[in-house]
Amino acid sequence: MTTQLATPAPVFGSETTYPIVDCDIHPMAPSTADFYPYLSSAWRQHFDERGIRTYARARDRYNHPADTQRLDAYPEDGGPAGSDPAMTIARHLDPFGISVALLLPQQPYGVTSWGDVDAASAFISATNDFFVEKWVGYDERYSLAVTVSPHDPAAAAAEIRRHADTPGVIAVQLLLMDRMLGDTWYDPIYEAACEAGLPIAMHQSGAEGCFTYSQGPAVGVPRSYGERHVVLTQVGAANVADMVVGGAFERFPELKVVMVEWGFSWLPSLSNRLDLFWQRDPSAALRIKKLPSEYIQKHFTFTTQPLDEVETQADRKALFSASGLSDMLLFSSDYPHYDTDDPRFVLQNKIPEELRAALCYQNAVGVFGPEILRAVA
Amino acid sequence: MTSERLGSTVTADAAAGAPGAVTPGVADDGFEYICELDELVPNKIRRSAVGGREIGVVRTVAGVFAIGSSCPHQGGPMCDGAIKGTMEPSDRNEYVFAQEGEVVTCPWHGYEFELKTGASVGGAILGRIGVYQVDVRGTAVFCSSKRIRPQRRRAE
Repeated sequence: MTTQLATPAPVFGSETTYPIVDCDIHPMAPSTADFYPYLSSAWRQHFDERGIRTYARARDRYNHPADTQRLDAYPEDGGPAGSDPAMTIARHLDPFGISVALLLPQQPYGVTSWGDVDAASAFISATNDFFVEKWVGYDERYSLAVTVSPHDPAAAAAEIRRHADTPGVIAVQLLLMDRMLGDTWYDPIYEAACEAGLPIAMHQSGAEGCFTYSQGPAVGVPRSYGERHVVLTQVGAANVADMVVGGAFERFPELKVVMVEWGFSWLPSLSNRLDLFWQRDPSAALRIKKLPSEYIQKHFTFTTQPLDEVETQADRKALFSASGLSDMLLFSSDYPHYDTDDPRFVLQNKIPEELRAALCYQNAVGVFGPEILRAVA
Repeated sequence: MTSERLGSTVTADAAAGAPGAVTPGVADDGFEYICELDELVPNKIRRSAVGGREIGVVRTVAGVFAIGSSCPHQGGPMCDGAIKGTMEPSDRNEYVFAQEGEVVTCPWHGYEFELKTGASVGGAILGRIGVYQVDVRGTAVFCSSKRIRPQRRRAE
């Protein structure tokens, strides 16, 4: 009597041919030992003796009420959720017809708390090589954001250049430490990203507010996982403002930034206030020459998950109606995390019909380039 | 054999594997054979096809229950959910754990539903999961494909 999983219907039905680009999928290696083949023997010995800490994260400070991963994403033969590329295809890409999956590996996030600059660079490089071979090489729908950390901007820039021509590498996942993104410290990284034609993908690491040098939500320490989850958007918003006012886009006019999982409903207010600030006191922001909102619209995109769960049609319309927003949003699911947005539910029920093509793939092609659709016939 | 119970309490006889003259298939009353009771691993939801739809059957400390396979929030696969209890509303800094084995959580966002009624615990969301009548006949577990409708509140 036991049945197989029911196969979900296509997201848009058979008559629609939108490719779907999912801009937030998290792959995992089964264990940190799986990165060892990509390390030099000296670094293997180093990590063997000292261990690899991949978490400096919210779970250290806030216990999640249930599980941070989807329970249906754990492989049956063990390992973390999202550690089996075949399972992610069978459970997520195939059922929803997802053509491109932007992979944002999580295991490098822990290095944001490491003090050892060289160890951080070596470990991150190994994770990049692992995911290029084991995931991008596994299926053409998998596209990778190679990770770099701000420990050593020159080393990060070298890592970007090392992967500039790697097929399937479509972005740079820049980790966030103490310095805000408008700091010139990041310039070598931005320069290399522009040179390689790769946008910067900025995803929260889970370390925000969890150790001394991490950027935390404003003012104080939230009391619970839920409270922290809600106010974490402040970190994203503050860095958008800092990049603009810090003049990053005057120094790098080709730079693109994808803000992943930071929300977007706060953006109209932020843009409006930044414009007002600049109009009233332009001499306080000498590094920029245009309205802040113009930089935001040209250089930033924002992923949709977790989409605000508004209850009325009027609120839903308001969520998407801000000027310029239709060109700045990218669909994302956050598979396999617990706060996932189901592609069918969101794309059918929550995204206005007139925005679907833009959010499914057009805006993504604008940011990452048409080559991301390499798996689309 | 069917009763008005929501879910089915496992009797001592049934749990001990008392012999029952049960033939797998569809009983005269429309209930469908699922499996033997001892095949149900405690707290592990068994996917079953009943009346052409996917239903999850689970044995917990509170009984045997059958639920629909889709979460009313975003359609999460409830058969991959976890069986739990819940913290009841209480005074500040006071935690009261109750309903052990009577609650299933969605494997995605963790919304809790009552196995007996399908209702969202604490009314966290408007929708409810499907619940179906289960009957343990001798050693065999049967399930109806007819969804138990929520009881309407009588006007005060």
